[in-house]
Amino acid sequence: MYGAGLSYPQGSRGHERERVVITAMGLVTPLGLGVEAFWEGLTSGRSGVRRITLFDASKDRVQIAAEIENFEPRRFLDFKDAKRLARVAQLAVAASELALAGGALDGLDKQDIGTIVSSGIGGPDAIFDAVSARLAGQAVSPLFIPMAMTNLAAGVIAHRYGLAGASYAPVSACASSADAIGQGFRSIRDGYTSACLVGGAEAAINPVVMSGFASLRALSQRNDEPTLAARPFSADRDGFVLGEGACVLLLESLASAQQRGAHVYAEVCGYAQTSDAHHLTAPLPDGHRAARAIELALKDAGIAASAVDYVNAHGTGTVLSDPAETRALHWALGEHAKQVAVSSTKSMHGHLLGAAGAVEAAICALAIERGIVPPTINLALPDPACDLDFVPNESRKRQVDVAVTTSMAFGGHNVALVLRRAA
Amino acid sequence: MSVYESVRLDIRQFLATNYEIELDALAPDATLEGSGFDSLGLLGIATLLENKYGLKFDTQSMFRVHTFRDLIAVVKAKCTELA
Repeated sequence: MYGAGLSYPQGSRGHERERVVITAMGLVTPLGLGVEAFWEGLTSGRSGVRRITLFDASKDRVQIAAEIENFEPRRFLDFKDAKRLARVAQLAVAASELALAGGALDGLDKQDIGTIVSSGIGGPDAIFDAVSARLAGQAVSPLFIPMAMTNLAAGVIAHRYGLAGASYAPVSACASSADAIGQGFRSIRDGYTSACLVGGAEAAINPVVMSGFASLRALSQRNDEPTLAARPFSADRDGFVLGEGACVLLLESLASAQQRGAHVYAEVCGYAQTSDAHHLTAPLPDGHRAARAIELALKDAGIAASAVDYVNAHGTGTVLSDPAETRALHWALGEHAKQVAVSSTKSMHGHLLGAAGAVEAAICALAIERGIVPPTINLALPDPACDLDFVPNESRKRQVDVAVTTSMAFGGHNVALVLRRAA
Repeated sequence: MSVYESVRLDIRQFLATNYEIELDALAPDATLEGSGFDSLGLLGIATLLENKYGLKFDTQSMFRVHTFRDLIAVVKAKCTELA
């Protein structure tokens, strides 16, 4: 086991392993823009779910979503980009601006900085415009390919800030940005780079995408009470609520952060991935492979299960996923599971798909920094199959030294990240 | 209105709407790059004109366009071909 202050074994390039910390954070969410607005919404148990305004959903089966309210592209983008950049990239740029304004990159060598910013779906609006053009016998816009490609946000951000390290967008559906953080973490830990922008963005509240998720019966249909619709772990849950948003974090080595006096939110210390190898959209019911991701991530961090204080759960609020995740947490944390505060903040900000992993890791970092765990709201009816402490309805003061975030995605991808206080 | 006049109106509108560029207010030798108008924008005009007028611009001639004067010249020549 390795505690704070002890050095890690040699990395694969004969390089002593670096410790990796989060030194900047930008969030664009249905609860507000920027860390403070977001945290205030989260800790006061506010819901960002409303009736859809981005298109006319009045005749659709699902009429609710967690949208970014009053997003003004011109606040972050020039005229040209505000007009033509796909919304997913606009949100990602806004999150980057919020993270990096105020000199967060000062003292870092941009030649070396990576940009690993994911999306689950990329730019669906561009795809549908292109299909319409084609069906009308027209040539498709030259903007279609760049605006639809899932790596658009990564490319745009690297370009905008002149970051010449590795840039790409790992895709694993709702685990995508957890993987982005994990890959960035490994590249710094193992000495490939000293800093990396990581995160994810999603802007898929679009009639075709919504219909697709609705046909899978994955989405809540509680259209008349939008703020009550996302009910993870509650016995009367009926699916998740789609959200849009972006989160970008700056990861760097602790040595680099200390050298330039950067603010440190928390340390990223463990990352693991497993696959259910079971079904395209339903999780393995006994959760044992998701449990293995948590166990391996804790082992990666050199931290015992009994040290975990808070878990930000995947917690989508679907009938099948919540019990599977509960079993996974019991399996991975053993007796200690009952002592851990577990919340699904998707109850408030919705399911941000490719941005979920990053937003939820950011929440873990803030919980560590601020000693407050946000709630799972709308937890009205306890479900015997979901029997952990889900911090029902109100946030709670609690010292958090170690936090875990879990993702259990379509495709059967399980990712766990471990964060801790960077003493 | 001739085809060319209609085409020029469409180009003017495209530039104004998408790039905040006023075609008629530009200096005579204004470059595309200097006005913030990149190759994606040029391809956007080419696609618009292909869809609306059936004008087909070959790639070589498009990538030789560096100023708005070049652009108008290439477009004018293509419209004359059509006639």
